Amino acid sequence: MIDVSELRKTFGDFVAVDEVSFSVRPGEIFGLLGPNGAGKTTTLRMITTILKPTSGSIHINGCDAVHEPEKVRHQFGVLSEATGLYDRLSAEENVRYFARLRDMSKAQTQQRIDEIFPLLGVDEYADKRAGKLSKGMKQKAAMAISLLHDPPVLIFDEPTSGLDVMSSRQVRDFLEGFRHTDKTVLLSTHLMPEAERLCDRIAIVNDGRIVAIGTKDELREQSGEADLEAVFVKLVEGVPQ
Amino acid sequence: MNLRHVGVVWRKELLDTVRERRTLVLMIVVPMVVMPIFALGPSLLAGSQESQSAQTAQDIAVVRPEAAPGLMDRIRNSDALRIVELPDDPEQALQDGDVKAILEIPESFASAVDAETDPSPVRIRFDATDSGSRAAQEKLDGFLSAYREAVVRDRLQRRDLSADLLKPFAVQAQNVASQQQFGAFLLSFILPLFLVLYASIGGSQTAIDVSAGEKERGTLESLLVAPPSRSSLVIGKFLTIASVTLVATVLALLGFVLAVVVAQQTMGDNPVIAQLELALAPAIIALIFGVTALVAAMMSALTFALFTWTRNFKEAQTYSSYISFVVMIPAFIVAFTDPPSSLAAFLVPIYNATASIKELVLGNVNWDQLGVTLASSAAYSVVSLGLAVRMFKTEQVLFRQ
Repeated sequence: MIDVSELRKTFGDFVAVDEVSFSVRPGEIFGLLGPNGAGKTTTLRMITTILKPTSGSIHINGCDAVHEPEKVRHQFGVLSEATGLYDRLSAEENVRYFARLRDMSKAQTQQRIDEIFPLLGVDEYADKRAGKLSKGMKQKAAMAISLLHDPPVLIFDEPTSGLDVMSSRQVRDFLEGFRHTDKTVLLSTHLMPEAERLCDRIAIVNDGRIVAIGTKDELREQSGEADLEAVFVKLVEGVPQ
Repeated sequence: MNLRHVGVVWRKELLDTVRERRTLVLMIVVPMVVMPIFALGPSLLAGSQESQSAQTAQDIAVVRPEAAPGLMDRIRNSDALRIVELPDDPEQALQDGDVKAILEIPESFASAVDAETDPSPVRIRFDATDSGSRAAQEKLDGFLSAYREAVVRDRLQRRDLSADLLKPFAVQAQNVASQQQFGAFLLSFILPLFLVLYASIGGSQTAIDVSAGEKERGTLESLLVAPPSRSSLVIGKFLTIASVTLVATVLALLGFVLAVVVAQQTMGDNPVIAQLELALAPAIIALIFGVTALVAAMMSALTFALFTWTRNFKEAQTYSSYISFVVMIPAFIVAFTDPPSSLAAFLVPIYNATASIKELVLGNVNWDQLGVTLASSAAYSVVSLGLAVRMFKTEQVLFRQ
């Protein structure tokens, strides 16, 4: 469960995130949809405790993300656009490093690797250096890292950005598998079809604010447009003249 | 801070470092091989070249040898110099090193001397940048002085005066610096310079990798969303940089010892070597290592803090080269000034270590100076580490645009 309330972040005079509130329930895939620079990444960075909010509150499964960041970091797994792998370590060494940082035992780690690697296809290149892997392979290894500790909350920031068609499809298929599980999934994307296919509810973000929030049907109803893309364009560009 | 997390980060970063060939070369090959050659080579070579020049006969050319037959006989009768035929372009021949010096005798030199009138001056042309030419000039100077003395002696004799008039008093110069101290002087410039330089930037490749490198590769965010506290991450990374720097510094010291041993075997009784042995006595080495280790700790933390602030590899590397210039300045000041009498001077970071190492190399163990140096360097290390932790907690630093 993610609870974000009146979240605000400023960098000097620039307001990156402005009074953003939403909550995501377990079993739900919630999407933050908006153009580049809308404040999606900043919002996710605050939720994942990398940035401190200027004001507002964030609770993840009851833990306060602002005041107990180290506790809250055990609750989630994160996959971001910039796939963070160490080039000189193998895919598996990367995964094991993050498992150790999460205080997982050797046996526990091995068990999860045996479960997850075949699911993602990482087992085929587990002992190859990350520097020698394609972007898609790296992204799947990074996904293994985010899932390793079986966190109740999953946060994905533009997970398919920069991937080829096949890899994007694999990642989306994988994400879809979380629907109707006990996971709470928060996804940020600038791709309309991705949001439309994966998300149960969507918040459309523009200039740091949520301009609309609801299920796909609710969004269509609110705006009077039949096509979700038209809804998006209308909300982001303002009322057509 | 969680020690387990610190250990995990430390081990991983070390593994990452030793897998990078560039770092390994900088850490092992340069201090062990390149540095001793650079440091000791010139002084050893200069030493052997000087003695070689003194022993071999240089070719010289003489303009108008017939004007000074007496002087020519003296030169020809010794085997210190060899008079060769005057080249067509003497100046060029001198520049090319075909002749090592040119002696210009003025016209009617002998008759002027005989008549006790003042002849035009005798000229020696030589190339001060060439050790053979310098040796030839010194030898010619010697011949001319001896000849001048003989002429004067002759004139005195003709007037029935004692030759002792020439020497109203005698001068005896005595070098109080032992041979060992003289050689140590060379080393007292080079060893502090290289050791402090190495302790400052020996681990900078690693420091860049674990800070700005994480930013550039996008691994920083993965690390920041992992549970360990920022302090644990910083301490683990700091320990990695410090380990690499220490290994590099130890290897640099070892490189020196090795160079001395090799030089001993191959160059025999070069005076510089005997002095090196004294400077590299175990107790002195241990103290030098102590001072250097604290510089390594301080600079590891400081460079880590700085490189965390930089945006990428390139920017960090630029700063790294600035640092190497800055830490070299004290070495030059220390080399050409006497040790400061005020203990406060040993509070100045880097300068204190450089000055202390110089004194140690010269065999002077001053516990007050060493105490201030060690204590202040330790204090600066703690402050620098605090700065690094702070940097790692500052959003504007981690996400500089």
